[in-house]
Amino acid sequence: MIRTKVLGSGPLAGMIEAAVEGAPDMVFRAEDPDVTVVVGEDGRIRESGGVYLVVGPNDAGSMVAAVEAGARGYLAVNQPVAEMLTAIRIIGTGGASVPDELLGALLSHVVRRRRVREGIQSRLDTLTPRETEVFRAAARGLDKVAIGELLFISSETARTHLGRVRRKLGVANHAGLVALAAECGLDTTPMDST
Amino acid sequence: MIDDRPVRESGVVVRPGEGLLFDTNTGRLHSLNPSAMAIWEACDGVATVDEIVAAVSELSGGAPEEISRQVETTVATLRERGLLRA
Repeated sequence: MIRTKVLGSGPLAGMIEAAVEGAPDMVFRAEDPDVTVVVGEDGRIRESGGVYLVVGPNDAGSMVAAVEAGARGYLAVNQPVAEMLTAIRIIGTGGASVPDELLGALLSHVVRRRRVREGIQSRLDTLTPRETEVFRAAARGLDKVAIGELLFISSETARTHLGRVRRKLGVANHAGLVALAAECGLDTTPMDST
Repeated sequence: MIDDRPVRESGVVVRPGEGLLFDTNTGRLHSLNPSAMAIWEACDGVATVDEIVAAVSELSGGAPEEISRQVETTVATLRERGLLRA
């Protein structure tokens, strides 16, 4: 039996998150005929977090937004069911599926995204192990005093490390540091300094 | 080939959804398969061949060596046809 789930309208990112709850096989978005999310899952795929096929307007911007929101495939509206099944099959075997005419836009987007990530990675690689610890602690909202206590160093030393980390990563302030940490996939949930 | 940044020839226009490129310089129509068309579109003079190979690998999940060979062959063919600047 195929389990289905119908969702209301809302921002795409939140919708995909809500869609995968309970791991249904298929999810349709109600109320907005232009945007429908279909989630198909089997045991093998579930490990990597599911299959998301977004059906939306046939333009590159909508497709890139869907991919950024976690979609692995994109289909233009009003396509035959056979097209949808083909797309689900491609995604199910680890591939990405978008309309042929949007493939170039997706490729360019992935090139740019990889370049941004590699740029961040090359800056992260310049941090010493201690500075990496300081970066991780700062990402979780700790100030120089709390970082000092956590790492058994003086707050003055923590301040020096923080300054170096900011300079090496090219961020001006704490908010920039946290934003960068989030982009790197680091834990940024605030941690009690006790 | 590391710093090869192919760039589309000016005067070549895409016929969306039809897999066709029209070269206004020569008046010739070129039919491309979807992969070749996507690679041609990604040739913006900024992306290197290596970056395009990495992106195709990420999207297709294919082996980088095999994809590298295919992308380089495609770029060479597009150049031969005058669709990318020599």
